[in-house]
Amino acid sequence: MTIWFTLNQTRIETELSLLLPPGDTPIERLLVNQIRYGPTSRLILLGIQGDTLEVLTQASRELTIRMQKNQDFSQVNNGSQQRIPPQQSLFFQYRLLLSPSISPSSFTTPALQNELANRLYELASPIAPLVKKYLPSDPIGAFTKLHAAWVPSRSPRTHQGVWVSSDGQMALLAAQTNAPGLDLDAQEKIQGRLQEEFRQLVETNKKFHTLQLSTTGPAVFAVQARADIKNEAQWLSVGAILCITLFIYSLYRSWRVFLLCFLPLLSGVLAGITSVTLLDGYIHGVTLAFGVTLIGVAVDYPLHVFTHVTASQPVRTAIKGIWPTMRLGVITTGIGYSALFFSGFPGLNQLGVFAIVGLSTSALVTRWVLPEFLPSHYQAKPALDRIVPFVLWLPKLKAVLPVFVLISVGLLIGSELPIWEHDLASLSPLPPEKRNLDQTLRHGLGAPDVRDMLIIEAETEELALRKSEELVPALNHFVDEGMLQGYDLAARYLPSQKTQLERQSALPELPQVRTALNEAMTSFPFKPDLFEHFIQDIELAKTLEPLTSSRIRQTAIGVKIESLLFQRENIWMALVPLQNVMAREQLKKGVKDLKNRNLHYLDMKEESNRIVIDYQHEMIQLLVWGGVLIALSLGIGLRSFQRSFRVIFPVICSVIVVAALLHVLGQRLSLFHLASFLLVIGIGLDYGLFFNRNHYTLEERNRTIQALVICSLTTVLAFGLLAFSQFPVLRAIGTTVAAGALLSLLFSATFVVHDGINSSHLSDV
Amino acid sequence: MNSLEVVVWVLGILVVGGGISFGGEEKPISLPLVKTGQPWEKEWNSQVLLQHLSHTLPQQAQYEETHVSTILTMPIVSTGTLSFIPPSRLEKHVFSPREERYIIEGDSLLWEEMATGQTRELFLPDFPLLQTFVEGFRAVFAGDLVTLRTWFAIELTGDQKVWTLKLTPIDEDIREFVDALHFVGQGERITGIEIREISGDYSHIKILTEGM
Repeated sequence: MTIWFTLNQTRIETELSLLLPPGDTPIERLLVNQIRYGPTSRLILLGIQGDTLEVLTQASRELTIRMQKNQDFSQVNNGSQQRIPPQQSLFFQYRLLLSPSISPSSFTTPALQNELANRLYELASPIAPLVKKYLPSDPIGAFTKLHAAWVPSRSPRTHQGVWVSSDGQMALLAAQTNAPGLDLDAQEKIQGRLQEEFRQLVETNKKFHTLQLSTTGPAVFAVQARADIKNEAQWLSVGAILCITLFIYSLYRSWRVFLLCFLPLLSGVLAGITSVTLLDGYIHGVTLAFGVTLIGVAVDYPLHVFTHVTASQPVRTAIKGIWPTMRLGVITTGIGYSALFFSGFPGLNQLGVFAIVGLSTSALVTRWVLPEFLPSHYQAKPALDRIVPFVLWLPKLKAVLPVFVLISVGLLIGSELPIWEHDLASLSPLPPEKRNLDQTLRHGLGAPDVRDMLIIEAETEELALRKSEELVPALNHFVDEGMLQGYDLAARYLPSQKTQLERQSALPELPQVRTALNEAMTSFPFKPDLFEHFIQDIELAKTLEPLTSSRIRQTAIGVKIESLLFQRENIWMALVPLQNVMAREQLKKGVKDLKNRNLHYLDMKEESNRIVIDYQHEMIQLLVWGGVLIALSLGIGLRSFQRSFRVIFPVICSVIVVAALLHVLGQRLSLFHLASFLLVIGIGLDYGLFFNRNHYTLEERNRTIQALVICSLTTVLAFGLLAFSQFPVLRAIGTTVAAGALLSLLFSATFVVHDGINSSHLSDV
Repeated sequence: MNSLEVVVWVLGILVVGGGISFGGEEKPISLPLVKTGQPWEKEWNSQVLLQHLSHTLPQQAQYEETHVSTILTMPIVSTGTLSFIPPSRLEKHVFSPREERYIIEGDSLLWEEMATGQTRELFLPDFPLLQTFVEGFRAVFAGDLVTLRTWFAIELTGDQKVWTLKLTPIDEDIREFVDALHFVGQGERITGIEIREISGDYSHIKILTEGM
């Protein structure tokens, strides 16, 4: 049933932004929205290389056409789409209100003379056809200048109208996907189809055979990193399973035992997936990965059972014997994990449900289902007798352990190196060649790495535009000071109504223009009444209603404005993307010094790292609360403070010592370490409980010790291989769990009081 | 229309400038009948003329251009040089009335104003009028009659000594502005190009010298 449901109903989400907290303020929500859907995260940069510029530009054009037909991309640009169509009658009509070049002095005789001279030169040039059309109505070139102001200042180098890199080795394209940048599955498919599209293109033309396509961009890197990590994780898993197989088989000499080891774990995973799906409608891929790790302790349950089965103690009896201990372990761990359930972060929520349901299911399956698969005469043959004396000797080191812990605490507190990892990117670092490629493409495209932007809040669109305009002098000052290279602004394309009305009221009176124009024209061979249209247009401009964004929505400029100026939850926001910020701290301070309550500096990288840090803080709190809950429930379950202490203290010690060990190894603690600590706590608790349970016979005690050693070594084998991964994420999980499992075993063993076999304790757990 | 002037100079370039650089492998159409330095074939048509011109045009020439327009009370005269570098680079260097340089390469037109150092780049397909002239010029220059015919209707009058090649744009939108361009020559040399606009405006480019 469960399997059927799970296979049919489960939707595994891989979109990382589902893990983001929703945000408390409109600005925070905007940030999450930007991370999730923003143009930056959906950007793919492409470079084609491998032949002459002629071939490259041709390939660029053809690839662009193919990609534009494709539903994957909302925008594809190879440079030829960058140009704003010159003839747009609405903008031409409004040129005197929109153009920044218009001032009262534009209509004086000297200014007009200057402009007329320029027009005459242009008439004697190859671009004359372009000039002639507008000459009678726009002799002052207001429209041309408006148009020039719209074209990005840092235009990439072009060849035959197509973007090429500055060294001329690559044709460059930029595309935006429809799918959110953090939806890695969708992004992976898109990139696959893009490569296929390019492969087909290469096959259509012999000239293209030497061409290569390279892509970069946040989503490209994320997909690549995930694939690399997945690949390595798979290899390491194969290695780990091989090791465990050899280990368990060599101990028990039975394939059945080996397979049964995984039965409770698998049932737990299925139950976990089902429960989370029932609750939320989907399970996140990250929850699943962490969840499986968290309930990895379930492999231990059958190992305990097998080790305790003897000739005198058949399977069912053995299970009954260890069940109370196992039950207490599951309940206390479950209570500890339940802290996750109260987290405000969606990812941790799911993890809590998954872990609790998964663990209980594993335990129940071990108790009630496992025996059905074992023949009643089954008998395990533990081969680890020799390890028992060593474990029994460990309590002699009891005095050494606190020293260990103190040294570790000292290391952690006294260290000058940062303990916590605050930069998420460092967990899946880019290979240098990819980083260089990205730099080359971004540099060539002049594509701003939109890490920084300003947000202006206002009640209306008009106010947002006015506030943007007021900001321009300060922004220009920052640019002049060299703090950044440039910025974009909605008001650059659409001035506020206030500004438009001001320009309108500054337009000269009819007689005044006529006089100035006639005077200016005396030195040029233009026909006397040529500029009658111009004079009429000035009159017309005086009667125009100011232009608003709603009237230009369908135009290229309108689309541009919409991405920079929009309404969210009744608040208008104007975005000011900052290009190439060179002095970030200085700029942040400069913006702060403007003392504008409605102006916010948004550093995307810092903000997304802040989310990660929030997760970390939440996780630490949960670890502490979980620990308290575990201690309380243990105290109740064991009804003995001393025994609870003997179970818990070694776990705390091992967490501290592992943390110090990681620090010494140069790993900064991240979310992944913290999640691994949850597993270490679960494992350690079990070890403590089993070590401290009462045993009927010496034989049984020895069997418990052997079982624990087998459990611990299995875990070390499974996770130890991960510690050798080249990826920091896998290394973090591997090192933490392997070291944690081993230390938990040693420390728990050290704190056991082997007070002989005392039948007075038999009634206890 | 003044745009014709573009054609004019473009054609001027090819006419005046072309031949030198036309190595054998650059020539898209190779007619076995026509070889460099050979006398005119007995058969006289536009194909033969183009073939001959494409082999004999020099790379650079000086010109004087007169533009007559209904919006002006007197003609504007400008002078400069025209040059062509195969396969697709055309250059017009204006010396007077103001020094400017226009470089056409592929689909882009780069415009450089020497006094201010300002440059602007236009993408020719955005400006069909300019593009028509440029494409026509290149086709003539390359002796590419097939391409030339995709843009213009061709009419050759006169004889081998004095001839006129008239190119009428095929595109109706272009024909609203441009009547035709006339390409006038004597023997294997182009002496002038005239662009006539529907409005009555016209440009005349006089080729002053030839050779480098």
